[in-house]
Amino acid sequence: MPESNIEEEVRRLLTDVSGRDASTLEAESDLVNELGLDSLAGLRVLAAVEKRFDVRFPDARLGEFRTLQHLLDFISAESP
Amino acid sequence: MKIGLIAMSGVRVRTPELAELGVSLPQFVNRGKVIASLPSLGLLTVAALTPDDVEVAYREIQDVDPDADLETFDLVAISSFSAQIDEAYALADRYRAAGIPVVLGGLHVTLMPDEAAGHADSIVVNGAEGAWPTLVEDFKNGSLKPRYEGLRKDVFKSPNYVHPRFDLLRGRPYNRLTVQTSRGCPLNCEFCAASIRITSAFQQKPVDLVIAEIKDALEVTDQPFFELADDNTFINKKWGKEFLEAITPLGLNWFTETDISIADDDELLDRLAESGCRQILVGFESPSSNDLTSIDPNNWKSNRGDRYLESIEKIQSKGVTVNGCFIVGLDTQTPDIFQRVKDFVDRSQLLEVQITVQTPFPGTPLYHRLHQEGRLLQERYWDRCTLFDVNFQPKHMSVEELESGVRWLFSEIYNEREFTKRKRHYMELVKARM
Repeated sequence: MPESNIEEEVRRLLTDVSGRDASTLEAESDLVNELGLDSLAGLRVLAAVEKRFDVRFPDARLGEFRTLQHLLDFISAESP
Repeated sequence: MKIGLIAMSGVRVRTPELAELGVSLPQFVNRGKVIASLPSLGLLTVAALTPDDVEVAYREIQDVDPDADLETFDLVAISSFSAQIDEAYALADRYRAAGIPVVLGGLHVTLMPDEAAGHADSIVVNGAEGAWPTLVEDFKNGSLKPRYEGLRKDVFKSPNYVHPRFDLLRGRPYNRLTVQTSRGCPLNCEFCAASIRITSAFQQKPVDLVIAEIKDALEVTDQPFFELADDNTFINKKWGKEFLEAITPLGLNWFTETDISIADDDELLDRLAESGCRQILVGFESPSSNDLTSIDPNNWKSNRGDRYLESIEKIQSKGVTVNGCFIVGLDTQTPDIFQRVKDFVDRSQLLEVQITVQTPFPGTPLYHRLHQEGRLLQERYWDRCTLFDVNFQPKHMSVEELESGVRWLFSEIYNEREFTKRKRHYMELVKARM
């Protein structure tokens, strides 16, 4: 999938989970602060990304994916 | 005229070893932060009961700088739970020394009115409905009475019901907002020191009033996560279904407390999952039926205990996580309880767990029984009513065994490794439902 499509898709997932428009979210913005994600919502974002892009975040690093850029970097590195 | 409403808040632990351990355990810290940051719905209700010609200011104790001059009001009202009551009394004493009259209210004041009266010009027992408007009028007329009795029933009926002043929270940072849908709980557990102590019977707010409050609260937050300030939301399953139908279109994420019977109703569970409910908190209290004997007058929990695991699995499979609460130090428990709770938590895959020590809050049936049996460690220990400190002689273990067992259980359940395992389990549940 082209990178621009991946980003669009992740923004859509973030919008779905948070209930807030993530289309203009800064890539480096903290998702908790900008989208008001609580801890469960943060996990639902990671679960949605795993399912959609067929990747798996390392369990010991679940707390590290705090920005859109973190998610995009991981997907591009791990996507089959 | 201006009235200052001051809420005592925050989580406290007195035993130094436990306090030190607690701050290093991620899941314990997380829930502590949530509880500490909830606004006082009681005082928002008091604000709404205040006549329109009187200005009110809502403050939380962290707003009050102990080293600065006191903010000036014509009258101050302070609401507190037992663990913070001595801090509330100290603040009340400061205000009274400065010539500003003080009213005290809340659960502790209701249960220990004579003690509270020593630190206040007036006290309100039970809820504020039925008492506060009269109190304000009396104060205006210079005839404040030392004690007012709030209503113990019909608080959600006209003309007693008022819509809490959520507008007073505008501009304040909250992770969650609270709305109450009921007061009391018919299970009537011996240890319970929640709203059951200020009501004569279970009271349920009509669905349309709850939804109107939520919509109003949404006006003051851009982070719409709601916590229902109930002791047992889904006692009435018919009401529950109507409520879920009404809250679903609002697109919220929310949390509440209820009992395990919710697992018996498939339709309710399906609606719950669709409604945005992310977690329910359930008081299991102990892992097996035998431990639960006599916790409540009808042995309701004891009769359910052997089905806990299948009920948790059923609820969590719908995508609603369960925050399981366990009490250690019950009279039925022996020193193997700590390992048994740990084993149960492992088997159940509960996403979140709350371990608390049995606490004889003043005025509860548990307090009266332990007092009669001579098992309270001190006559007055309110600052240790934290749910984490031991205040009584356990029946089948020593105080030291209970304290060290709690520390062991905390370190086994709240550590990073276990927390991560629970997070991964939740993610797999979410993925399975996508």
